[in-house]
Amino acid sequence: MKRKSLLIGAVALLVLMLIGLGAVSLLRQASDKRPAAGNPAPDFSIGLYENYRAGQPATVQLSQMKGKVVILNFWASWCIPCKDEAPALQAIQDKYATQDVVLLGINYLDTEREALGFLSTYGIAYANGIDLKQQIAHQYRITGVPETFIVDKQGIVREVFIQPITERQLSDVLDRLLAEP
Amino acid sequence: MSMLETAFSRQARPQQRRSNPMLQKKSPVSFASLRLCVRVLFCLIAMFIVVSPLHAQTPQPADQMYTIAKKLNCPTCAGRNLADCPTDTCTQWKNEIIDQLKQGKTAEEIVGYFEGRFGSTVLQEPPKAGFTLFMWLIPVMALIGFGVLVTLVIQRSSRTPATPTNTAAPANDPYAAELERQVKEGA
Repeated sequence: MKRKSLLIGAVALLVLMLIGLGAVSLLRQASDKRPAAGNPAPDFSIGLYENYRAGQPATVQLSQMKGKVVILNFWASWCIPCKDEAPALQAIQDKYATQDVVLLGINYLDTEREALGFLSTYGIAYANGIDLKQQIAHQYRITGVPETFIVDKQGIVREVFIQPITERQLSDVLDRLLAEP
Repeated sequence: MSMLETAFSRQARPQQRRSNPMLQKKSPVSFASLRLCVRVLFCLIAMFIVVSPLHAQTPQPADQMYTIAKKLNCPTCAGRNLADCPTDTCTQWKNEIIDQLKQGKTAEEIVGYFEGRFGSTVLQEPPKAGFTLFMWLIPVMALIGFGVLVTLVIQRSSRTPATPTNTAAPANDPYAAELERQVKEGA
């Protein structure tokens, strides 16, 4: 009788563990949705590369940039389309340098040497930092690079580009968002 | 033996020696050559034995890189080892390992660098702490559970009593009851 209770207890424990693991997995899947247009942008802080701070402090936080339109661009040096869009992004930085626009490059799964080599090669001057342990990538549920999120002055995601972005596309969105109060 | 025969035989003998090696007399020169060959062979074997461990004691960065890369995952391909992955990302990472080895960093430090920068998901073996501890414990627990289950089943089956042979007469069998009574009386 005692052994039977032990056996039932062991099986119950195993079932509970499986249910627990299933619940954790479901919760993770539920939070796997990319922040869509109209939703608040997940807040994060990022350490910037030493020579790529563009007048920002060593560590910046998204929530402290309210009142500005923020372009979050996920990229990597090994990503071929990122090389294609790099000049467009720098052109946008140059064009909107005097306006309330912050362009933030988020370096994904890269070694520092390669990342800095990429920034130097493409003459990038806007703020760039490393996404340590891919925490920001997980928050934004990116599925690859490049991906670009445009956050408005109130901290709401307004546009998501799951593809290389062009200067024209960015200009259109920025002009519209800058015109908003 | 005529003079002709003698002359023929004298000419024939050296020729016979040359043609038949069994009849050749062993010269001291060939023996020396054989000894030389044995010595050279011995030296070659000795060199092989001595030189190999020296080579192993000074591994090249590429070899060390491979060993370290075996402990890491490719960041972009699911379930692929960094050492065996030919993608651009993995090539960059392997170059980073070689660079850090040249800087004198140890394997642990390099693996720690990658874990610190890219998280524990880059490790081939998940750390034995936190949530990933379950990954190590579940197979062990399942094995123990299975062992307990098998033990219980075996114990239960061995404890099941064999069907007893009923020597007493059934109470409702009048023939058996009568037989038992007569046996008792007879005794």
